[in-house]
Amino acid sequence: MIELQSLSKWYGEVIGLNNVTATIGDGMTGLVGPNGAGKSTLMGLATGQLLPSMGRIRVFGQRSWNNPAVLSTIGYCPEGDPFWMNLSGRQFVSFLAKCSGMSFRARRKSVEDVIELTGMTAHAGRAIKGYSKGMRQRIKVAQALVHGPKLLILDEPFTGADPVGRHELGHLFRSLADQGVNILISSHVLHEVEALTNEILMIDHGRIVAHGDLHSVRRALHDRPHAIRVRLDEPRRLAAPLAAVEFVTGLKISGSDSLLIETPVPEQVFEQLPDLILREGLVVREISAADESLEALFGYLTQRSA
Amino acid sequence: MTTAATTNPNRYRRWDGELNRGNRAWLVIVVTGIRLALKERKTRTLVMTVSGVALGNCIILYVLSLLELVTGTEQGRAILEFVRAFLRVDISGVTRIEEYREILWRVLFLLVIKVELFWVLLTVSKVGPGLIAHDLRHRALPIYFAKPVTPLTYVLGKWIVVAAFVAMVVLVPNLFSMIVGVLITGGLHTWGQTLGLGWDLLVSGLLICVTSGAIVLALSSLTSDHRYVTVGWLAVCLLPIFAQGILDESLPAGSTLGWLGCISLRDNVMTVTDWLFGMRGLWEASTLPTEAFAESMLKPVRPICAITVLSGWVVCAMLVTYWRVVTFSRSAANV
Repeated sequence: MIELQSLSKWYGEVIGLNNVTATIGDGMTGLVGPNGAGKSTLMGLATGQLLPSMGRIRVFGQRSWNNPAVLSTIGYCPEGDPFWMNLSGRQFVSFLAKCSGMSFRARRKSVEDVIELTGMTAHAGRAIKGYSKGMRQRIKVAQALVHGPKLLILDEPFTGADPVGRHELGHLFRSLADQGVNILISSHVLHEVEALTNEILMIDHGRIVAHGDLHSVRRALHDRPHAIRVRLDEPRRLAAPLAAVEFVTGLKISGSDSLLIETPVPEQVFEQLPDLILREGLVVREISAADESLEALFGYLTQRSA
Repeated sequence: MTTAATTNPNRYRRWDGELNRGNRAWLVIVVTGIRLALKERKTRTLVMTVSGVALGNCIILYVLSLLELVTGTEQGRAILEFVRAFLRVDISGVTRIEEYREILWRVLFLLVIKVELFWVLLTVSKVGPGLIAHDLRHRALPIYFAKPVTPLTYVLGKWIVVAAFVAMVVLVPNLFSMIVGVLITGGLHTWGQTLGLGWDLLVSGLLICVTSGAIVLALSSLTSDHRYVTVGWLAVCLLPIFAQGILDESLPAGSTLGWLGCISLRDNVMTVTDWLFGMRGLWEASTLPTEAFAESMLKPVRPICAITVLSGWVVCAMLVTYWRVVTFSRSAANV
């Protein structure tokens, strides 16, 4: 879908992206990284707004810079509030549909469809200045979808949305991905990206620090022991037999109901844990991989790349 | 606070029709820009009030047409007094007023344009400042340029928005008044007599549209705060006039160089308009004996200098606007 080849972008002396090579495949990909990592620069390059300083970027096999054919296949939902506040939501979506080159008849139907899709039908006639943050996000998503793009690029689409709104937008994006729309989504809210997709592209200081399936990336970090969290009433009773297990490299009891097990081979621990628990007659409330979350991975990788 | 309704993901039907590749995005930007500006009550009021000037113009044209019918009567003498006081043209010795119809109309329209320039100043200061500054402030450029909209199309669209409003307060009222004048004065014969004036009104109107649009857009592209643009626009229009006035007052007569007048937008526009209206030539041909008229209308005309200055303003302004839009859209601040 998007090919980056030795791609660099700098703004004067500031590096936005630094010699990045990757291929972002079809489906939904989460673009994560701290502020200033280069996420928006990558999106700017993909949407043809920025010219690479070096290297090249191809979207659906074609350059996106100054290429209307590619731009018409991309739906872009930028960060911030790029609105003309006196326009109604419907007029805003319609205006951008016209800019995309949609005919009157096609536009009329498509605008109503995307407004309904994003749950904005009841508010589409009101001026945007009266919208809440969540409504603004929805109407931005609507304008990105109106011309039927094959690729949806979403820059921080959850910012400002309430929990229900976040859940619904997430549901909408998953559904769009299921229906064949390719999505590149950036977010600071890592667990939301994690809830949407396992495919991630992690950037820090303009470089890719991880790319691929979340679990594969975690497994690839051999030098960092995996952590398994066990929630139970008497963590010390489980810690004692675990201390004797060869491949357990660390045990941490936090509070009165949590035990953190560190191991380079989590599969072995998962295999042995049920026996140990049964032998000790313990009641366990939860067993989870504590550091396979995107957040933990993000912490490891950004520490490594710093 | 009202919340949005639930999303309907199952309703998604990807639109897969053909997009129009002919670039008409500029037209979309123009129409939306005009619609947005007209949502402001003050802008609507400004555009509406200029119709008062057009109405006044029509009334004077009617009075002039009346004069042609009542020359030599008591009523005619009253109208002649009015013409002398208002237009500063003394035609008391003329028996066939219709022969001087064109010059009278030209003098009248020149006066009206001077009045309308005040509306241009206000309308442009209301409509123009936010056009690009707002997009810079809200980082809206990506939303344009992620569509098949080029910076050139964008600038062109915004330029035409300002030009359209200037046309609404100069060009449209003048052409409307002229058509009304032709209709009330005598139809085809008057049309033939004043056709040249129509073209001159069109050209001078376009000149004002182009220059004011270009300059306010350049100022709008330089900052993200539209208030600075308003101040800048007023400064560009008024400062040279005030400064020249102060110099003329404080220095001995004839010792000021008048160079501030040379860079003044208003002075240059009026100089070119005077030249377009051919006031000197008309004066010499008509032999109308009025010193006041000569003094007010026949100041030394230097169209080449004025045209050069205005062209310079426009070219520089457009280059600045284009450069700012392109560089900002490609800068880190924009992404």
